[in-house]
Amino acid sequence: MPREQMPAPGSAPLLLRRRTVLAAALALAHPGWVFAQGVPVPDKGEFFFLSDREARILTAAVDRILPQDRWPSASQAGVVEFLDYQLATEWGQGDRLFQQGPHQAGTPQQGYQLPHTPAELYRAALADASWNAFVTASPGEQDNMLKALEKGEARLGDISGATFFTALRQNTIEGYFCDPIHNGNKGMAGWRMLGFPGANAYYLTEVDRFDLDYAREPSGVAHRPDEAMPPPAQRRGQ
Amino acid sequence: MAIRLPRTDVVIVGGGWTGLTAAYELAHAGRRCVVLERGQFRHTVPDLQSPAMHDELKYALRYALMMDTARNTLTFRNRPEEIALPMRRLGSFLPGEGLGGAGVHWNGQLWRPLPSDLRIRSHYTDKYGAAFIPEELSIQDWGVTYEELEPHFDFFEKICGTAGKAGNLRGQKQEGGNPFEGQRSDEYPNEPMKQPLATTLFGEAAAREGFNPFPMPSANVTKTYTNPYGAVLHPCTYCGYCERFGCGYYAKADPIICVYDRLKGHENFTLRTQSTVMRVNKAPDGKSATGVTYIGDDGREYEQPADMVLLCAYGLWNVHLLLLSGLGQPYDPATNEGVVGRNYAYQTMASTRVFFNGKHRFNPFMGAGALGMVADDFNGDNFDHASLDFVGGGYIAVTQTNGRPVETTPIPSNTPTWGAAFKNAAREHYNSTLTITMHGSSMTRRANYLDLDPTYTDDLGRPLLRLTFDFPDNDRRMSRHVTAQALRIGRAMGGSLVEQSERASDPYSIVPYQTTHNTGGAVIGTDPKTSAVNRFGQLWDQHNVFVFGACLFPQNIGYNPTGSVMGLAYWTLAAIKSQYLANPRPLMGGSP
Repeated sequence: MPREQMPAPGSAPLLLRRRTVLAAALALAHPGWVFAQGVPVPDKGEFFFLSDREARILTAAVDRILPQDRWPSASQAGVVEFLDYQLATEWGQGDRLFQQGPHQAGTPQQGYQLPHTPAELYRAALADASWNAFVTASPGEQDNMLKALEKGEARLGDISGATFFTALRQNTIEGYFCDPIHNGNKGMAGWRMLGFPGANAYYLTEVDRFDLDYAREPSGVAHRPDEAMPPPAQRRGQ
Repeated sequence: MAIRLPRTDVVIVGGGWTGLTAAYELAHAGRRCVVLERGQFRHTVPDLQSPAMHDELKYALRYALMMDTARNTLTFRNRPEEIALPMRRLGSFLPGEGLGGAGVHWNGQLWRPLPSDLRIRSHYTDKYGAAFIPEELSIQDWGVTYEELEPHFDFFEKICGTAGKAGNLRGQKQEGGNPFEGQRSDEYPNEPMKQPLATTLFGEAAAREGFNPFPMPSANVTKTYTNPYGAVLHPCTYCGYCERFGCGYYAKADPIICVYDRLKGHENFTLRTQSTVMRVNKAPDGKSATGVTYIGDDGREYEQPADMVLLCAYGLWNVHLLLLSGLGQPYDPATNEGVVGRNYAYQTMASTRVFFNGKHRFNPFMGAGALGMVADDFNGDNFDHASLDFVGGGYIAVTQTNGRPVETTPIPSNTPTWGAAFKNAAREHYNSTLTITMHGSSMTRRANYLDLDPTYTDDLGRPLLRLTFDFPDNDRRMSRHVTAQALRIGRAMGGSLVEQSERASDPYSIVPYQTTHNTGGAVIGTDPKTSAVNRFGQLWDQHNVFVFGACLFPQNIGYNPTGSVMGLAYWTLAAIKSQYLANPRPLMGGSP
């Protein structure tokens, strides 16, 4: 039986439409951006936290974690903008993170023990020179570099590769599947991919209908299409 | 230095389920109650309303409703030989903060303990011989029986408008309920929840395999309902934003809807939020408490004199406050003496995934926190332990709580966790995979305990609570045995792949979420050498201090704790009203 009532995600019209919509939406929000093969390349001054170099590294890295297939890649779905906003605002700045010292290495069971906020962790990890070759490397080479981080075989300055990769993977998933109000999941692409209807909240008459093909246009928490989170108090360079 | 406030009859630390309920009952008994809640004031409307509440990132992943670990946390280690380090962000468990406490973001899975759970050492000794109980375990009877608590379990189920089906009504077995449960004096107030495909398949497979499945008792209510306090609850919409979220539909019973709204105008009730209690103050002779000292919402220090002090914070923080206040003797694992901090336990969780590879559409986003089917055949002593080498057990269940996508990417264990294959697998398995949960008991042992950390402090300069914990071998053996039963049911469900996905880690890790069921540290009992409070929840040495919460559990049962917590709370409040108020004194002898 058909699993999706929506047009098959691989069909050309939808893909074209999504690209067009994404590109148009991104172009409106970021008039300085250039679009190459559907991947937005950030221009100078468009990010709240990330430098251009950091954004290029992250664009390449998150697109290996969630590459483009019939559905957008992570960066196409806004994950870099999501990360930028997250790092610029409360969570990235250490909200809810216990920061008192002494900081000392513990066991894996004791969890995160670095003195860095998430913003500091990303900044320090991305400053490592090993990323310079990453951006221009082939996808296979990029995967090998990320695997070395994941396994803890490579370090990024004083930061364990595994610590950074764990954060990057988690934040990429978050940015791909979160409510679009957080700048990720552009066009609700992540939700459409899974068939998740979003912030819809009323299934009283459907919950006990077995194998129901529930294909409803997803909706987010925003009341207006252009509703967005407030800008951070501080932007880069200020 | 502290600003001294006018005396009140009762000061209550914490504005969650136990604190607001204590205030309701004692305000209506004519006592002036002041509730001090460390977090913010918040209310169903507007703070918990949809669609703003249905934001997975903000609430489920950034913990907007939970305690602020930047200000206060605990330190953790697996073994006494290690250096405990701060839990720098939440993970394994999620205590709450703000009006309603963790009762706002709970699932609503509302259970009673088994009668044998409450007399565990006696029960195993009588049935299997004293030598059966593993030597490492410090398990003990509660000192209060199921029969004594039953009216209070029943009342709290009515406060919550609980949806369920009785299995043992006044001794008569009932079709469709839990055949292992203790006798109930009454049926659940509401009918069970509707069951979706995933939980139905589990129930059918469990029945075919000889188990006795039944719908999980749920505080996500199924019809418009007025509780005994006059609060009105509405039918659950199965929205899939329940646990980790507050309910804006008045459908998940919580302390704001069920208690606070019916108490807020009462002349004997005062609530002060953003008020952190620093310590309980002792009288010069040490025989009673004189009240509490707290930091108010203006940052100033206040002394609130009171005739009675009720500790109604989350269990961990009740223990913290006892230790900071010098109430009761701190536990020392080296000598095995002292009681405050003794017998910390947790919950031994494991899970099994069943993949159907597109054969079904489960629509996991149509969920509720307590929507599920359960087999209780391997909980407690519901199965013969004679040939086994452990104490305890757990329930086996399929719940359909949510399909929130960041948290819901079930993939087979041989699939990469990132890259093209991951993305493909996440898409393929999202809507056709279910998880069987094994929710197991947690026994106590000497090396698992709570005390004060020597190094780290909270934002008010007080030593952090220090948690030392690893799963006892007994519990790993239990978990393996019960998980084998879950796998058996899983294989009978017709999926294409059945895998154990999570188990009690070796050693316990504070990083991945397991469950917010921290128990013990101020346990109830009848012997002042092994319990911090007597069987009424009253401190042995300071008779006007009563302790509430899961910190009272001498070890943890195989069920979610809230039903037991509230059964004990009403039991304590009944003793206060009927025995204590007219004649304040120790309600039990035995003080050393």
